[in-house]
Amino acid sequence: MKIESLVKKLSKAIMDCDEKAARKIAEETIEAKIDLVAVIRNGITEPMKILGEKFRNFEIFLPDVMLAADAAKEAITILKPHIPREEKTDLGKVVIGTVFGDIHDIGKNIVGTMLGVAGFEVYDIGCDVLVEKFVEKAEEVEADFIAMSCLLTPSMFFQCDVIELLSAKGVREKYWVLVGGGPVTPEWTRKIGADGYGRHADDGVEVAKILIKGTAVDLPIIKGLRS
Amino acid sequence: MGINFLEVLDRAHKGPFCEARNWDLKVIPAMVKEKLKKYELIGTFQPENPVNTDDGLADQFWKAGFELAVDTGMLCIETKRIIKFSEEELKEVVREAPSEIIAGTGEDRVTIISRKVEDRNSPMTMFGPMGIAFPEELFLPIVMSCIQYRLIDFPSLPQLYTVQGREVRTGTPYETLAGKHEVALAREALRKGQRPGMPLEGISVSPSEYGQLGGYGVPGGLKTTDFSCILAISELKTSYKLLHKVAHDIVNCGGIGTGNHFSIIGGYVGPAEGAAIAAIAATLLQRAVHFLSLVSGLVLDFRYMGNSGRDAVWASSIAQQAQNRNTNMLTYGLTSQVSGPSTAELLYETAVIAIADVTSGVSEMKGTRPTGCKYEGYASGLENKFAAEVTKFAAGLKRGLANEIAKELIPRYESKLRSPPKGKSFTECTDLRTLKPSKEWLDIYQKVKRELIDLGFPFQ
Repeated sequence: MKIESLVKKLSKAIMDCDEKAARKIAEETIEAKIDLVAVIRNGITEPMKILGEKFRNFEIFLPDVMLAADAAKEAITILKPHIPREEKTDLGKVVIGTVFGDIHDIGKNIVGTMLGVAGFEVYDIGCDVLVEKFVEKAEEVEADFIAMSCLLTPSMFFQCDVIELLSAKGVREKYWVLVGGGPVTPEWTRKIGADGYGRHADDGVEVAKILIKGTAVDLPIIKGLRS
Repeated sequence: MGINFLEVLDRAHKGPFCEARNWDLKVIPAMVKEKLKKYELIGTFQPENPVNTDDGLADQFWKAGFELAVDTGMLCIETKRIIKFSEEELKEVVREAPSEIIAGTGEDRVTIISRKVEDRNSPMTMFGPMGIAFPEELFLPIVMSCIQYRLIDFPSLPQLYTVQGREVRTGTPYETLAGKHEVALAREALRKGQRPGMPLEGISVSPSEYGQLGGYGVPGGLKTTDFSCILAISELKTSYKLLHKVAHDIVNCGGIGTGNHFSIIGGYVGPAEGAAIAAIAATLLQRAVHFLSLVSGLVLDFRYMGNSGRDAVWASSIAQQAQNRNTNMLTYGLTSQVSGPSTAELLYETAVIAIADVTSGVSEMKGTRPTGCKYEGYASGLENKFAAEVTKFAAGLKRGLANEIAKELIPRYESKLRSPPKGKSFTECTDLRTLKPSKEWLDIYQKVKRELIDLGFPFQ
């Protein structure tokens, strides 16, 4: 009964984009000493999936999903330290940003949001991000993915620089590298040795889900190809 | 204008404070929702009628968009300050906006005039491989393959991604060098194409201010009879990069300011109706902050990153009608297609966008952007010729017919918008010796033209 009540309240807080309420309910949940994984699954992941579907159907729009994701993140930050390490609550960690020289953020925000909806833990490092900052953040949070967005052709070359830096540091194999954005193509993805490309946001999520399984052999994974 | 650029800079440094994330996720969505509700605009988009024909509705959108511009202002990213204008100041911006500009020189000089809805005067045409990455060795052929067609008044340029074989990287000295390189190639193309006086519009490879600055003060460089292109950031944002271009190109060098902003359906402004009023606000604020003489608030749909779907066509038509019914400002439309060259879909997309915008009163049409500018070298002269023809011959067309044509054409490509046909590259669909299109491409073009004539479009 208690768990159902908390799940319901947490779900409502997420749907209402109420960060403060989400934090408070998460704290109550810790005190209640109940199954936290079930609370996250039913009280956070499930409402985020519903919101993601509404977004795809244009029943709601980007700000609604992003603010809900903020509330979800607030709750997860409280709950996660209390969950045993072996009980994973997310699909993987993604560091996402728009590359150096490029201040376009809406594509990155859409992809980041949809990755969060899908169950990934997303670290958004913003726009106009220096090459080394991608690697630094990935190392700091022990990410699984580095995802780079780009809308300007002259900034695309910095995606290649990030991969080269990973190789130079001897950590290339630690991360899946995803690339996307207006001028980014499957050909470019192959050329720079990235691991995945999605034409649209949900393609990017599909690629990430395939890669995290660890069984993909033919890289890069390309989704959303034109006819 | 009553407010000079120094005053704008003052406001960019002293205006109300706002973090960009708060602006995007809270301020803009809340203001847009408020205006849509106040003016009863929610649910006015009719998917079955992609070109608006309701003047009263357009005027309501104008009021909502104008009020949005007054209430929001424009955010400067670096300073996190909002540049705000009073209602009276924005009215003055509208009153003082030019209704005619002249660019270029000699016989290739162009005169852009203010138009109204269903205006019989033809808009100007600026067509070419707009912002599409092209290798250096193909820059001249692609530009010349477009300007050979006299209905194109001046060219839209491709983007160089290398300069003498080196990668052009944003914000680096390579970008500055690329500015000079591009303008030199462009002038050479105009001379060889026997249209030397055509104006140029900024520097295509100018992701930061460096590329644009690189195109000034050099032999054949940009001058007062050319345009300076300044593209604002969605939603309703400016930056030092853009303000540098204003300071240098327009204030210091006396260039003619042009530019646009994309309001994105599905993004921070929500549905098509939200994008339309944000587009109107963007037009006003760009004129006020960036001092643009030829300006537009455009619309993009993030589901496929183009503007040929029915939501975007409608939003664009009503925003343009709102502006052109209520001001004498010089506005423009822009074709942002997703299909590639040598496909019928590209021509259908082009026709729908151009017919909707021209009948909605734009002073100029720009483009084209096959494949959404995704694929290097995927552009040709023929789709630009087609775009110019449709633009010129749509003058005087009634919106009712424009709507009927759009209703017929949109179903021919809309199911493919998310996975559009790539088509063929410039070298695959063009004879590089004659710069004429391939027979296959020409056949597609002739077929689509016949289809348009059958629908009542007055091709000449």
